[in-house]
Amino acid sequence: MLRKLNFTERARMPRSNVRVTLRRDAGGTLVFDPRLSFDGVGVPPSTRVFVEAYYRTSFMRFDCGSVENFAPPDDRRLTDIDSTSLVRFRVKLVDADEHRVVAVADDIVVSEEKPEVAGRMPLLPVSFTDSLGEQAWRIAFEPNGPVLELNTRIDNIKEVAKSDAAFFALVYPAAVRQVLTQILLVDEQAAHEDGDEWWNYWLRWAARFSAPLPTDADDAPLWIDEVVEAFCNQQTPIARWRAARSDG
Amino acid sequence: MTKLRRLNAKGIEEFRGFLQRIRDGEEFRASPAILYTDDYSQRLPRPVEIAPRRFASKFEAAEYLAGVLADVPAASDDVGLWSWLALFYFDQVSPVGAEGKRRPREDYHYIPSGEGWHRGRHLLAGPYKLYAMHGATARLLLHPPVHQHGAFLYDLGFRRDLITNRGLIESIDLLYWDPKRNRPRRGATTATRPGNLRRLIAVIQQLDFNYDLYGMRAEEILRLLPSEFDPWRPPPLLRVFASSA
Repeated sequence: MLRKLNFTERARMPRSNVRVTLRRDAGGTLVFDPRLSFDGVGVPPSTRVFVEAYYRTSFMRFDCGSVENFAPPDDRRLTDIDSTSLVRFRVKLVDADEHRVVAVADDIVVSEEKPEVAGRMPLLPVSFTDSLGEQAWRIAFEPNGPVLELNTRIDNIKEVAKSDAAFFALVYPAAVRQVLTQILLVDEQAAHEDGDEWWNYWLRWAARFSAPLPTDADDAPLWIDEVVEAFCNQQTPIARWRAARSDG
Repeated sequence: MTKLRRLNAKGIEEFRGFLQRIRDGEEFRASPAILYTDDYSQRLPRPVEIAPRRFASKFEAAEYLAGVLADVPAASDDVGLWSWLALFYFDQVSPVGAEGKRRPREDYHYIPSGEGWHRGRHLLAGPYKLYAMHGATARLLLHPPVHQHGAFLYDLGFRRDLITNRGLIESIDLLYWDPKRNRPRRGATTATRPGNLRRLIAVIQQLDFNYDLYGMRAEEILRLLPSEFDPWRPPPLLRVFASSA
């Protein structure tokens, strides 16, 4: 395990200080409502507050006043964000005189289906999209982590993803395997003790199923097998699938 | 002059088929009926005149279209309108190549698509939006001919936080635009040249950790750049830096 150093001299703004809700306005456009707390952040009251919304290459920025006078703009429509049910947010606290970023809470993932987030970063956010052609699902690796993309051309896909036992059995173990393979064998990442990169969250989660983490690439495939097997033993997807079929 | 129209769903499907038929080898027939037939396209509620002009650059096209569309509400996201315009100016968005053939690119260059990489790649709507956002400082991004994207758009266009940053785009204009020759400075996109565009993007991404670049003016951004960019700085600014050092 490696320790990380903070070279940026930024204050830390915990994700738990940020709550963002997504909703649709009357015209069907996605709108966000932010609620921020600056408790414990330790920045001057005059510090400027900006909320940035982004997803892949799309980006919008909203001037929300200052720490002492937090005032999000009236127009918070996410018109320039790619059509998706998932949006990432970054809260940036800025010294207005020197334009220095003094604190950031990044990678606040909010989905339309689970609109409220407080300090929790989902390991595998789900995005419903119509851009998958004939693929039912795909793991998209974005700079901030993997996203499970599901094809909206499949009837009732949101309900299927939520409660269909067959879907869970066929998709999730394969998705876990693909993400861990990407981390350890493709990107060859090493885990940090207190790292807050997406792959560290994934490795810490996976280590609950099979510890310790592999120390070299040769051990990684076997370790990934063990994690997926333990995940399936815990979740019992086959038993749930069989039960669902016999109920039906 | 012609009255501006917008393609309807049937017209857009016909346009897609039209693009595919050209890719398959069919000849382009100028002014196809779908441009003017009510089955495929409709006039705008308030008539707007448009002329069949030739544009020397994307900038010239964007400037002209900004004038034409000034009173058209929500023009920038109107798929039918931009599809009609691409067809109206098809000779320029898909010109005949050196081998005597047209080779249309992916559909999203002519029919706007709303997602990811494709967003902003429409050959007329993309420049129009950049011109609306940056005005004259978009000249570097929009220097190429209408049917090309060019190195500046390729390198900057994939990051919306870069391409929408007014101060940064003005900085890039100050660094790499040659006002005497009215074109990008030589070597601005040459990978081996110190201080080239890609180096600037790499440095900007590093600075972005500590500075709120989006809220900064061009001069403030230029002041943060390391010495490898000195040969690119505009002379008056360079003198200011030298005197304050």
